[in-house]
Amino acid sequence: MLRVSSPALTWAALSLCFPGHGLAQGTATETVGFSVNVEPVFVVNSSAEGGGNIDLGPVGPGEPPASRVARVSIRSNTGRPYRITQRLEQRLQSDGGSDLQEEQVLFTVTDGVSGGRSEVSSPTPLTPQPVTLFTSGPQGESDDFTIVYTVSSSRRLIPAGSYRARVIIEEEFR
Amino acid sequence: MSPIRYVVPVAVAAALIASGPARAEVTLQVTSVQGSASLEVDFGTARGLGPEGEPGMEPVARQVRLSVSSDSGRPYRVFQRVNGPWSGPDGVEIPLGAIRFSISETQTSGSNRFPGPAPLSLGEQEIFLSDASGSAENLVISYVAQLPPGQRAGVYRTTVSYQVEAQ
Repeated sequence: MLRVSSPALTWAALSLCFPGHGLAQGTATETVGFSVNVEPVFVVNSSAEGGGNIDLGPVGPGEPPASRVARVSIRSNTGRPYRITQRLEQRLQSDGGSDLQEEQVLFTVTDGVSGGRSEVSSPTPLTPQPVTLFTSGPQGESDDFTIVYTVSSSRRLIPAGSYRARVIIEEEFR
Repeated sequence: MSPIRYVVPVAVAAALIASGPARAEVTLQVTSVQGSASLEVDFGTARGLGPEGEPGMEPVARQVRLSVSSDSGRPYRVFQRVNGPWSGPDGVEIPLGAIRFSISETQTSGSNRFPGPAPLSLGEQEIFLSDASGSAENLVISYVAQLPPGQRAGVYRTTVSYQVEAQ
């Protein structure tokens, strides 16, 4: 049972129980999530130096080898390592149906500017079989490299004409 | 002295003790201006690379409205706290500076600490100080995200807290 002996003691008790008058502070907090979905993009672009097709020019007996460069650019944000391959859609063939010997067109591949590695560092015949040209860095970084195609004259007789082929450059993920 | 003379003061004391200290009450309501049902600022699907592999993306803007009120009659402060990095797949992060924010709308004469775009950064920042009487306020905070070129694909998340403190 509460016993109060005097009014003065009553108000002393009140002030002890109410110390924060005018000092208490209010706060309020809310939390919001921020999100974004970054879309995956993987693009391979290849182009002949100077634009257009890779034109190896006229080749005749005794002519020095002619070289042309194709630039390959890969832009990727997938984070997945990849390889770039090359295959011939058809052999180098003239309008008259003559084939060029495989060893007459050779190619090499440079390392990438961003850490990717050439898989064809020495001259290699251009064949219909798919060949791995390039292996990306471990994080599948965007990269750039070049392919150097070289055609040499042959000791054997080649029918005159314009020879054409179509090279397919593709990616595959490791 | 009769004991009955102390009944009234004791009753008043009991009532005051029961009601507790008189706190300055502040309220904060956060809503997405874009009308998202959830309390989330979703920048949607963005491209770290263009469709042809070209770098960059169009900036994406989102807005958040903070409705603040206080009954204290004194100023209050509004803080923004970025609670962590904007992290995504395999711990890859989007630099917080890729989001710039500003308080694009206010209604009172309070002090807008970020009237112009500033990069988001980790930790707490005071973004607004109310007027002297702590008038109710509606702040619109604009966030503009522009991803760095080649930003790794994936979903990135962080959280941002807003706090109002009465003085």
